[in-house]
Amino acid sequence: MALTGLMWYGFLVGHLAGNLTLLSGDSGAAFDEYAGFLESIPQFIIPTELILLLALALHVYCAVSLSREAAAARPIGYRQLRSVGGRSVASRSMIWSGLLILVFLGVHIFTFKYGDRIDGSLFRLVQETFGHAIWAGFYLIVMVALGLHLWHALRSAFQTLGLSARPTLRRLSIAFCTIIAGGFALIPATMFLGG
Amino acid sequence: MSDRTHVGCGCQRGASHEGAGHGGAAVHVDERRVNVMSVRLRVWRQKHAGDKGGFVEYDAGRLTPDMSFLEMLDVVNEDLQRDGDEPIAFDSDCREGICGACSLVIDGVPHGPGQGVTTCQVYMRNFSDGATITIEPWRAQAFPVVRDLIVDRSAFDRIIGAGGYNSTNTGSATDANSALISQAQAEEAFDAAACIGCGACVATCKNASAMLFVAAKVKHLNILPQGQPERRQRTVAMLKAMDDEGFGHCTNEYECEAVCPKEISVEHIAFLNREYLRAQVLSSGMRPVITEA
Repeated sequence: MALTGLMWYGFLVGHLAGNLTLLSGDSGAAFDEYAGFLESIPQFIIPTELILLLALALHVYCAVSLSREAAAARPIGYRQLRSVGGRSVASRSMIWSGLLILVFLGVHIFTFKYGDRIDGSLFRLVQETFGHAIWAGFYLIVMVALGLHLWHALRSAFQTLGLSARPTLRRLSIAFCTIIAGGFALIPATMFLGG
Repeated sequence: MSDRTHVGCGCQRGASHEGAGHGGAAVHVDERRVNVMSVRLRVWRQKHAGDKGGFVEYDAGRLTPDMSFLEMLDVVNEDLQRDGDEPIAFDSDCREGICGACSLVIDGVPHGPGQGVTTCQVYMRNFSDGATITIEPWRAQAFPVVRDLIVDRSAFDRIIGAGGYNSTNTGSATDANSALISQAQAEEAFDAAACIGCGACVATCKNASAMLFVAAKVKHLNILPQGQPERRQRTVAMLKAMDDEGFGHCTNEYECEAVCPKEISVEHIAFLNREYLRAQVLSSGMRPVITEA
């Protein structure tokens, strides 16, 4: 879980850095140039996509099998089980936030990677899409789920890989997931309000 | 007397003891027990492992805040037996927080209210008068219910059997100072060794994982010189035994640390994960660790 998750974390950092060009205020020139550059290096992009796809498949497989294992480990539940430790909305909902992100991923790729560009401009397509309240709202909701998923994911990865469960790393996880999810949320929010 | 709303009152017997001349001390105890506190219990009752089981409610009266939770159950049981009913079966032994026998989920928390305490160290003053208290057994596939609130925790013994030991020379005892251990190392090992194997970590984990238990048991041996000969095998074998027993995996919520009566830190789980990586990948050169004897 941790290794495949961290691969996607790496992807998200790159994806966010590139996509922030959407907010450069130059009517999409920088973004379209960036998109064009990525499309000009398929020898790099296609293997990366395949690796990420494989990592995703492994991640989902692990998540589903571990969830089933957990259900089998406690076939008869409690009438009452109270949290007194570190259980959070994020940790409780990992499988659900994960499934939402999985569905979102399909929609996202279908909309933007394979969507019809307006006058050949991907920026115009993004601008047009986020001009609709429903699309912008959907993206914002998913970014909240993504933020929660990434929060628990990063602190878990530190622990699973044997680093530590120290509060410093837990705080670092919160900061990092806020930057990533907040950064991504900024794009639909700004584009909806701006146009 | 079969009316369960009178269970636990005990006053009739107290009065007869007084009349029989049991002395001033007995009178004093009985006076303290008059209507000081009463609670309603919602207890899991299950005749045997194959029984479906269910919750039964009891009114426990004439308690005092100074009673321990288990003493309260003793009082309830005395009255159940007096009335010809089956007493509530629960585990307890030392009643001073060191043996790990007592094991009740009280109002949804293993070992009940309070930090760093076992069930026997919980007192009735932790509850308000008239409160309804739900008592359940540890719930895990690997801890099957034997009767009422007693579960079979021999899965832990089998995990220990898989690797929780170290090689020792037979014959004359070696000099105690021949193995040098720093104070800090000794303290760290002891922090892990403080685990009493009660199973509260499993009981509270949403995945019924035994990672905190295994981590504590692996660590206190793996960081000491005496534990080195079996270091790699121990880590892998004990984790395998944990999986084989049907415990779940760790998803890092750290509820275990919060309910542990010995406050074993989840840092030991990070150590266990490190040890596993080292055993399986780094020091073995990718060769699998043989865990079978």
